[in-house]
Amino acid sequence: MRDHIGGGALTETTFLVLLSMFSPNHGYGIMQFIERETGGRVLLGAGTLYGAINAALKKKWIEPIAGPIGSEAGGNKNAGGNKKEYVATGLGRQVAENEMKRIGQISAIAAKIIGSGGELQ
Amino acid sequence: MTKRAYRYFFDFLDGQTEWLNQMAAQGWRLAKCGQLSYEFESCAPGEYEYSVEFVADRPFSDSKAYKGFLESIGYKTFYKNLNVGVAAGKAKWRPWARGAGQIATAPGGYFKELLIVEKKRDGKPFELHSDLTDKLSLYKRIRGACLWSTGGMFALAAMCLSFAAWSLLNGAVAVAAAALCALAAAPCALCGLFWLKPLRRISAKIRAWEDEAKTNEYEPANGGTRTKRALVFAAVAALLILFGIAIFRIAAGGGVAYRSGSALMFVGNSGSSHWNGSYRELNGFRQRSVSLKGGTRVFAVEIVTDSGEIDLSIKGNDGTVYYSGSAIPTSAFSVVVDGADGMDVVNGANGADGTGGADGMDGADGANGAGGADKVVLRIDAKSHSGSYKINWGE
Repeated sequence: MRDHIGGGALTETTFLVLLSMFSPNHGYGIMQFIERETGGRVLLGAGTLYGAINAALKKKWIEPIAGPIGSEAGGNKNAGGNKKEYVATGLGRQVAENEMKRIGQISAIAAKIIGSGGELQ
Repeated sequence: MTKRAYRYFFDFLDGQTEWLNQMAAQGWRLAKCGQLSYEFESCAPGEYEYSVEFVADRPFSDSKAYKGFLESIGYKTFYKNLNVGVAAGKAKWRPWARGAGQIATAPGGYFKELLIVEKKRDGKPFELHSDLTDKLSLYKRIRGACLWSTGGMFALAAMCLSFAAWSLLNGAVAVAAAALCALAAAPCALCGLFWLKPLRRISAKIRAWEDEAKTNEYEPANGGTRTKRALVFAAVAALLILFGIAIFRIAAGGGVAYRSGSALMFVGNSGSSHWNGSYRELNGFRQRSVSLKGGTRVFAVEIVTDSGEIDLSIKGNDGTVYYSGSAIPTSAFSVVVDGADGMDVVNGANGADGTGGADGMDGADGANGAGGADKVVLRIDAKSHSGSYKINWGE
């Protein structure tokens, strides 16, 4: 199926960040979400996250919302500064859905070739 | 308890990070930092860890937003200078930066080119940048900054030196002032040299990451030490090959040449079967060796003397003198060199004498060799000689 939203495969960082914002989320919360959901495989750097947020903002895949301070701060006593929260836009959700379908297709190809337990089907 | 240290880091990323982490491992936490000074307060050993972030590529408002973002995550941040000095109402141009970041004005982003970021240790590695695309674009801009610093310092040194040299030659400025300029070149060149180390580290990282990024999104667990070793090996191999070629050429009979003196408008060359030169004026001596591969070699000599004096000698390395002539006029003759023993010189026809003087001299007979030179040395001595020499000894 044609992806008329443009672009192709997302980087893993971008996709994970996008998923973490289906509910309103902010810096620290996003890093925790990704670490938790990937079981510690992906440890997002704060600098990379900052860049990813700005890139997604530019493409209007997420938008800022005024964030309540203290939500999901989770044991973070030093937390201060401007806690901006972000949430995925309709466009962002569509992009994420396309990515999910793409990964599903690749996953199916891999399963067919590599097979479950190494058997050719 | 507090502690003060004074340091400047040319290796502003890795070098500075390593040092701060060493201090933290000993139980010192950064409290304040100035242009050249750091103030620490005591804490539990290993309680904190540090990372240094380069922000000079962004406009100052953006770096402030980034600082705020990092603090909202729970890190502590300090602005740190990369440049040292005093700035008041100065604007600095940064060609490697993006957009508005290219112009840094004091106080603004000037002396705030870096962010020292502190994190409470929690067992997870402290990396501000986790994926390769991000690392690559950042480090390429850092490399740009480093190149400008290094290049700028070398250029400044070169400028000082050339000004000193030029003014000395033209007597435009007192010797003292010229000496000062030359002296000023030294610290500039030193700075340039010190910045080469971080530049090399950064370039190596970029190369390794670009390679990895062709297939992967993240850096592999252990970095590219393999590429570095391969490069060193290649360099050593290249040097050995060049050395080997040089040795081979000398051994194969090209001969080692020596000379001293001067030549005006000299054209000539030297090879495995010839040695010649033609010039407006030749002074001093030049010599080269020719190996005898057993058997006889005939050296055909052609000398042209327009003015001045030229001497030629052909001597075996066993002491045999096969030919020795001085103030040779325009003439052509052959010298037969027998490895077994020295042979008489065979005179060729005497050429017309350019200065209209006496007939050309006969070459002296060569003494009989003791039997077995394997190399002869051809030597030319010239005194304001104008003309040419041509010696052939083809197979």
